[in-house]
Amino acid sequence: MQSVELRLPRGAGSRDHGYAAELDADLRGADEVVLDVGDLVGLHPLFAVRLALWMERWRHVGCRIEVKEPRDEATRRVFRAFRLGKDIGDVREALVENDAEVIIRPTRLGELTEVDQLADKLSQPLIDHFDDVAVVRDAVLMAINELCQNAVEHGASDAGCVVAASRGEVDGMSQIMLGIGDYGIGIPTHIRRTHPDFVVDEHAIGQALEEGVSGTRQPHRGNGFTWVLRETLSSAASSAEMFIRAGQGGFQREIVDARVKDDGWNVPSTQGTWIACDWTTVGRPER
Amino acid sequence: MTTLENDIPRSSASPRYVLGRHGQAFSTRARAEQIRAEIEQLVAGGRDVLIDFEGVRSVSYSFADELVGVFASRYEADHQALRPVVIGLSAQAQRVLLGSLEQRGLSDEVSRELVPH
Repeated sequence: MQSVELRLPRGAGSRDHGYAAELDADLRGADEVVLDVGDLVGLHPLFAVRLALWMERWRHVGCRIEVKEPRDEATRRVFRAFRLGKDIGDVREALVENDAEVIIRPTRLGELTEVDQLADKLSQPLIDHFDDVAVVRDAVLMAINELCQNAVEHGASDAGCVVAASRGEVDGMSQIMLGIGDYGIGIPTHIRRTHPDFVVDEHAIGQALEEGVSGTRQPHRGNGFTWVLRETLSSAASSAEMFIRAGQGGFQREIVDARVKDDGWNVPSTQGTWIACDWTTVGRPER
Repeated sequence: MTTLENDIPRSSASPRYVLGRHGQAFSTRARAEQIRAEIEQLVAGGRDVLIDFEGVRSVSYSFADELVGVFASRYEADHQALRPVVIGLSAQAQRVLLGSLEQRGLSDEVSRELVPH
C-alpha cells in the first residue's frame, strides 16, 4: 500500500485566501493520503472549499484520506464547523445556524435551481443573525447569486461549484468572507470563447470583471461581476476585496474608500476557478 | 406632470403577478425565464401586467434583467407588446432593476413608466 503524507504550512489556510500549492500535487497511485493541517492558523472559506473538493476528488478514485486536524483551538473549531472531515453537503444543510463564525459550510450547487434555493434560504438569516453581516447582505447575496450562477452555467464541471462563507474579525472590525470554487474550465478559457485575443490568463480574468464582457454570445450578458462591485459600493463595507485564481492567472480587486484598485499576476497553473470575496464592515461583531 | 394614474396599467383589471408568493430571493436567469413564461400565460394575450415585488428581499442582476429587462426591451421596441409595471420594490430591487434598464439603454421615459420611482 502506498501512503503519502502532505503537510500544509502554518499560513496555508488564510494566505492567498487559502491557496495551498500542496493540494495541486499529483497523487495518482497513492492508496492513502495523510493530510496534516496541524499547523494551520486561520481558515478562509475558500480554503475550506478547496480542501472539501480536494478530499472528494481523491476519495472518488479510491484513495483513503486521513486528516490531522489543526492544533490551534480556534482554527480547529472553525475546521469542525465547516465539517471538513465529512462529504460536501447539499443546499438543504448549507446554513450553519449556531456558530459565531461559519455561516455556510462547503455546499455543492450542481443545478441553477440550487443557486436560487441557497439565496432564498440565506436572505432572512443574513439579516437576523448578525448585524455586521446584515450591512453587507446585498453584496454577499449578489456575489453568491452571480458567481455561483456563472460557475454552474459556464464552468462545464460535472461537480458544479462549491460555496462556503464565514465571518471573522480584523483589527476590531468584522470581516465577512466568501469562497466559491469549481474544477471547471476556468474563467480564462471560458472568456476566450468570445475574446480569443485575451491570451494572458490574468488579463482575461481582469477583462471578465469589466461590464458587458462575456464568454457567451448572448446580448446583455457579462454584467454579474460589475454588480457584485456595485452592490459592494452601495453597502456599508469600509473595504472589500475579490481574489480570483484560474488557469495561470491570479487577480485581485481591492475597494478601499470607494476606490477600486486592480492587480493581476501570473501563477502556477491550477484547474478550475477559485474566488474569494471579503467585506470588512464598520460594525463590530457581537459575541 | 406625471400622475399616479399614469404610472399604473391602464386597465384596472390588469392581472397581478405576486413574486413574493414564490420566495424571498431570486437569483438566476433560468428562474426568471420560468416566471416570465408564467406571466405570459397569466396575461393570456392581454396588454398590461403588474409584477408585485412586495416581500421580495433580494434579486440578482441576472434575475432582474431576464425578467423585467427582457419584457421592457420588447415593450420599448413595440408598444403593442406586453407592458409590465413593477410595484412593491425594495430599495435593493429598485436599484438593480433600474440598473438593468439603464444597461439595456432604455429611455428614462420607459424606465419611469415600467418602474415608477
